Amino acid sequence: MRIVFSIASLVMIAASPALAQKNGPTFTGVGSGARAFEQLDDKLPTPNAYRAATGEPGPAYWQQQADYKINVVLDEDAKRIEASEDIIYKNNSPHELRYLWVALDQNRFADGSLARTSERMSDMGRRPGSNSAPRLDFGALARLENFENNDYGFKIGTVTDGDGNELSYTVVDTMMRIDLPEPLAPGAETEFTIPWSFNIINESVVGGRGGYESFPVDAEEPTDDTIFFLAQWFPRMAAFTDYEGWHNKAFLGRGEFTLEFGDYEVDITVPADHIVSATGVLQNPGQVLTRQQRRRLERAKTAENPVFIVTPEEAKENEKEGTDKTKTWKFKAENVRDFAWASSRKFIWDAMGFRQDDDENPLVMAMSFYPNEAEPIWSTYSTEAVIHTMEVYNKFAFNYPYPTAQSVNAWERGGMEYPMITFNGYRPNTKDAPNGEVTYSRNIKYGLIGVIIHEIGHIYFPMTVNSDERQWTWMDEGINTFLEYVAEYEWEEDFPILGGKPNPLDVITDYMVSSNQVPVMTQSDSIIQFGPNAYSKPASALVILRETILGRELFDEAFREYSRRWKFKRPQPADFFRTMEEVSGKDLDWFWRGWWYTTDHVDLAVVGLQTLKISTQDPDVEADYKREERKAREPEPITQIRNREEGLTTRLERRRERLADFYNENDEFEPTNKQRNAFKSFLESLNPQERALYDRMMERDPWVHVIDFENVGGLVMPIPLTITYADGSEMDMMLPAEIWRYNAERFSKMFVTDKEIVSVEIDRANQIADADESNNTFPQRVNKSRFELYRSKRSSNNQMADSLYELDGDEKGETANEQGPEVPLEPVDGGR
Amino acid sequence: MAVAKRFLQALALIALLAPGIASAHRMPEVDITIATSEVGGEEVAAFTFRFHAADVLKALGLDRAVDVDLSDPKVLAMMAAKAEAKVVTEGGTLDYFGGETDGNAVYLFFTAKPGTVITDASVLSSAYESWTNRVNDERSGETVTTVYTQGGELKGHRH
Repeated sequence: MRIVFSIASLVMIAASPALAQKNGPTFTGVGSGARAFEQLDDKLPTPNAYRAATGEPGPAYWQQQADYKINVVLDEDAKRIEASEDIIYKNNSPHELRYLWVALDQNRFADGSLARTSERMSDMGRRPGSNSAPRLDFGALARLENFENNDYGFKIGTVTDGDGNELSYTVVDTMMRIDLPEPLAPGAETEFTIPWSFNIINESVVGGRGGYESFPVDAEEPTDDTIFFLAQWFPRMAAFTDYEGWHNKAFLGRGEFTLEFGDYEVDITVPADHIVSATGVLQNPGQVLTRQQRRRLERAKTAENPVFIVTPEEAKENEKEGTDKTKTWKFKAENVRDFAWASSRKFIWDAMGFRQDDDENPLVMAMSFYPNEAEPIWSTYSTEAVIHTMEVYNKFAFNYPYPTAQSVNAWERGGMEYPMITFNGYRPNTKDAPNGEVTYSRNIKYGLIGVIIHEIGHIYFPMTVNSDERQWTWMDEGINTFLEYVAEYEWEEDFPILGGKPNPLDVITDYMVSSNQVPVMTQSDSIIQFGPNAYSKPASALVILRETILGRELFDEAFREYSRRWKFKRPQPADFFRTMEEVSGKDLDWFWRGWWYTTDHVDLAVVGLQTLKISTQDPDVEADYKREERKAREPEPITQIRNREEGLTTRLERRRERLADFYNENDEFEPTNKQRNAFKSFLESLNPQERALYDRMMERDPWVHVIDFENVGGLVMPIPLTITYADGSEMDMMLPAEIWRYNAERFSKMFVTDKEIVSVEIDRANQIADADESNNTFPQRVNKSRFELYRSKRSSNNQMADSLYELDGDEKGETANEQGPEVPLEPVDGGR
Repeated sequence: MAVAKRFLQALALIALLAPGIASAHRMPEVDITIATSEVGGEEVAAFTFRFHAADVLKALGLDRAVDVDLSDPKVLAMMAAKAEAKVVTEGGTLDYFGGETDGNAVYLFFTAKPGTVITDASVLSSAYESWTNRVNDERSGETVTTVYTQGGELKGHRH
């Protein structure tokens, strides 16, 4: 499709917002608690021989295997890949396969692809609307033009079987079906060859998971001063699973992928002056590295700090030249679900060995590859962050499962993960410094550390725990973001984890209350507000699960067990949910249902505090109390007061001698002998055990408090409660989420204490992501919004005047008068 | 047509120069909350913009500077002017009230006549190719959210 824009049209494309009203709490009315706590049977698949009800792989669990031998040549000038692969596909399923499906992710960029034809305006970088000045950004225009001028997508050659016979195939967008001449029996394997080529996208313009980036980025035409980073670059066997059969979700760009594990041998031919970073272990260092580089690499294995294999000076010198010669780098990788690589003559290369207590991989080479443009922060932080990630993730999951862990600076911003290799952004700059100095902001630094932790973390989830991101983004992004938070907390205190703040629970509430959202359990390509939905909301939920609901001991063990069970296997959401419950010993269906299947948010309120005493039932003791209580509850009528103030005398006062009788001398509370006899009978009716308890209670004279809570936001959650007593002391406690199991909207709790409770507060430590703090205290405190707080600060800047205020003291109100106990319980100070 | 093509190429070049690449680690998002408040005894619509500090620096072209004081009222006012220019309102205009920093978050406060609503927002669009403005209007007692976004959420994000 040809698109022509006038100058005016660049600013005249209309924009429209996405707008929706969030529904109220999901569970309301009679039975709300029952529905909030209903088991997830209606959501989760029935356990079977492949996936057990325990959340672990079943006795008949299976997964396919695909081994690859790939020869690839990088044509640097043409920015093009020419390659061929032999695939050995082993059918471990119980099914006979008459065809195989192969994923062709590069076809996402092809003309007419589902991804391109289904792009929304906002995907293209522009958005239509009715109320405002329309516009189109230049980046989107550049992308459109790039698509017009380039032919992207796989060009597949003749597909042949192991004997050289041609196999027929059908390409369906980003998928290709290969028809087998004979059905592939369970347990059998087949071998076939696919030759292919494609034009590499200019990632800076088109945007994608891989491509090339030329320097300077703003050059009119791409230069040869280039970093190539190849991802999702070869025809890859689609997943064939027990829960879905053949995976047939086209690659639209967002939902990433799931693949089969297998062994790879990949020969990569590149210009002879390039340095190559790739999934796996280099097999021919003697042919592609200098003796000095090999010596440095050896030294790096035991070094205390990263060692340059290629120094910044050598890289700078290297990028000046260029060559017509080529070298072939040979890599092997075992039991990986994908293969990616990067190549450039610009690369600085540093490395440092990471030792772990592991029989298979006692030494992991942590390595970083980056251009001089990324210095000095990359040599300072990249490899260090790679090792830090392994140190932390090893504690929470399993030992790092591969011999290398690599961080490649492949773009200015961004991050993407593949087995053993990650592509990461963040660079300093010299352009805007007054004298061309290299500078970087604090935020670039933490952005770099954070993104490397995140992407290296992905080598655990989902590169090893092989969840399906094309279906369930949260399973690796959410889980991995949770562990990223943990690793950032362990990097340094007050690390700006989310939204510039160290506590993600302080930030996620803005998303949680927003009306325009979908549940976490939404297929990846349909998610609205992708980042908060798939990353920070599930990650925040897991923070709460660990710190508040389960506690570290239970959570960590359950999480490790999930990781162990599904290492090199293919979990589904139910497997995670079930394992966390099974190992922790806690029913968490309510938690998954609320956080994963609804868009409710956390807003718990404390709405009442009643203070009571236990009655003695002794009428002589109780009479005065009842009089006081009547007085407090039923003030004297205003008419009666004003009559007296005006000097009006009542008839009784005027004619007391004639009118007064028993009832004028004794009020209704005056004890009678009948009542005294009844009290005596009451005491005599108690058995010895009851009498002893009565005496103890009379001696203890405890306070009885009833605290009322409401669930405003809808999510049933435990209540972290802080109680403040009249003497100023405090007590923290946790009311479990199960308090909501009958009624998910309201709940009252009784406390019997020896001290009077004067106030209660919910979530003082901000540990449950409660969105509205204004209803978290009783008696209610004026809880100001950020705006109000700022306004107050701004309006009160007279320190001298402020100093004249009296200090708020300890006089929080006197303890209620000693009042005669009474049965049943009676409120103190009028209750709520 | 050749002229048109050159024009398009020139624009593409400008595109690469101007908007930069979207931040990955910190998704370029602005949270705008609208509530009712009072200033000087008068009811106002109170607009609170929350930014990540990195995005403020980026928007101001100061992300490469070493010693920027984001608590400096002048710096905050500069950002306020930029933000205000990227918001379209109906029923009133935004008046900058003040700003403050809290850790790595930056807050800007505006007031407007009661009933003022945002009909379009593209704050950070001058700094990033993809961005999201989430407007939570809390004045009705229920939060009504409008999300203004551009460029999808793919490019430059962590994956």
